Amino acid sequence: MKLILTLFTMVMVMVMVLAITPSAQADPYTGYYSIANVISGTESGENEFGPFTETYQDGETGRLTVYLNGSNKLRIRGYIDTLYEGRLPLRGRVSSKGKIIITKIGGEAIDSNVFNSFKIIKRGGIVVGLKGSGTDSGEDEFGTWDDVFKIVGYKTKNLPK
Amino acid sequence: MTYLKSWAIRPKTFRNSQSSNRKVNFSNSHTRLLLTVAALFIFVLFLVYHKLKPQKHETIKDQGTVSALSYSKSTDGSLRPEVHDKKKQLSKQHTKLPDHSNVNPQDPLLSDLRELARESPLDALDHVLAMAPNANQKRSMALVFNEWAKHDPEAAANWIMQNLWTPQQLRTTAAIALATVWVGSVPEIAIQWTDDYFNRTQDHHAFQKALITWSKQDLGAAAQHMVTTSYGDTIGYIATAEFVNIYAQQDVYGAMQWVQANTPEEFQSDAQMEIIDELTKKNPIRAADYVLQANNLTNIESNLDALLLQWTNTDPLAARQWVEQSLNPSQQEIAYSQLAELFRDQQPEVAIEYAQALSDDKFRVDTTTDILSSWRDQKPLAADRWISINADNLDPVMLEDIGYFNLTP
Repeated sequence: MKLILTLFTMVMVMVMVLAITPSAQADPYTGYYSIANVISGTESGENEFGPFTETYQDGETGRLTVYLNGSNKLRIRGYIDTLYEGRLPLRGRVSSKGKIIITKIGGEAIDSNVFNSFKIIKRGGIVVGLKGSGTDSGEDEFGTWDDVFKIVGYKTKNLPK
Repeated sequence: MTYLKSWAIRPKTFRNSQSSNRKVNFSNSHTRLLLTVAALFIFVLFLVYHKLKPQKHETIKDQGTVSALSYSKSTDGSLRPEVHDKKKQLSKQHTKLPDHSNVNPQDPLLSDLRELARESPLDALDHVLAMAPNANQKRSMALVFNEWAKHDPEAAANWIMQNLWTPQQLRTTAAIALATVWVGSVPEIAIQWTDDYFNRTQDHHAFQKALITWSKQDLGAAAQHMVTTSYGDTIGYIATAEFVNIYAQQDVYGAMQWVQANTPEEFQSDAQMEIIDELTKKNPIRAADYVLQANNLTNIESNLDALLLQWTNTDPLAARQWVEQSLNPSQQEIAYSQLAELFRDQQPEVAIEYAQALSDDKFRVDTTTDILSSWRDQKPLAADRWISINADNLDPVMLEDIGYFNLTP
């Protein structure tokens, strides 16, 4: 009887350990996402006809993969298809709370006055997508420009096991 | 990120001066006398005009055209003489401004603010904080901290730390402006401050910008700093990704050796992706060898993704051939899923080929369904034509899921 109880206890302990051990697929953020970026901008300056303010809008789409890398860290990789600059790689990191830090858009490091605030969103404990917004500003030969961009995305599927 | 701006093309109007065909007889004495008098008259007018012309050292405020020029919205493209007058005045102001590196030279308000920031940064800040919360306010904040950082970065840094209640975007703007200038003079202290600032606020932007600026200015010093400093998880990731990216852009083979010798194991994957990005642009075959290097195989999935993303941009056929000829079956399985994602929006029929080659049953169905569904959303006629040809090889349940047909009686 004692032996049976000991064996039963050992089996229960093993089951509990297995249940709480995190695995790559257990992380709810990992998976494939489809994203869209909407850019609204203004440019103010002066040209040969005097001062001006132009407004413009643009849209881009892309794909992201949230994955655990070889060091078991949550990362983002993917791309965004832009109208004028072609396909640009996207890179970043995801925190345990789903906050995303983007470190690369295209070949260049993020180097202008880009702010971004992106996060993965859950509904009822289930990951459904991501959203974020940001601003970018700068100057060119025509004047000063300010872009506001909004990114939304949804999870399309889980990673393979 | 720079996006191309849309520009309304306004037609220029040219006035063609038509040369006169009239002949003037200069031998006539009356004509010569008249011409001499006219020349003298023009010369006197010229002298009077230059005597009365305003001097260049007039202040910006004296000219009284400040905000109307900076923020007024243009109405049409027609030529307006008064606008050209203002433009002339502005071009005179340009000769007076000392430094335009961070200011729109067409905006005299910012030039005044710059002067104030030099003399009394706290007064300048009061002025900025009272402004409407928009892009001009952020630009003004950057300017004030840019100036302040040149003269007294510690005081500027203390102000930020003591005023963390400042609206986040404004505070981030200030921290970035401060860090960018400070890192040029005392990089170690500036970087340390941005790390402290991150620990207090979880705002990584100042550190990111400071490290990028430093790496571009002095790669060797930044490299030394990276070797001797240990950062936490978030900042360590940003530091590795940004530094290696800049190093690789300048010298990809040097960066490759540096990463192998100096990057901690936990950031090796991030660093290797940066190397592969640059190497693939220069020499995709060499990048492919790097991906398959024995000590890099731990990161095969992310490394393959970086390689195929760049390579399919420039030579998709070569990339696909390499996948077929150089990878083992388990590596091909990874590559197929990535190629399916890379081709899905532009060549969905190719993407479906790769999706159908996946060995994991559930993932194969999920991926194919996902691609077909998007394709039908974007180009329904082409998608349905492809499905009708290949319907025998596709799972009927999947076709029902994407709404191609209804199985229920």
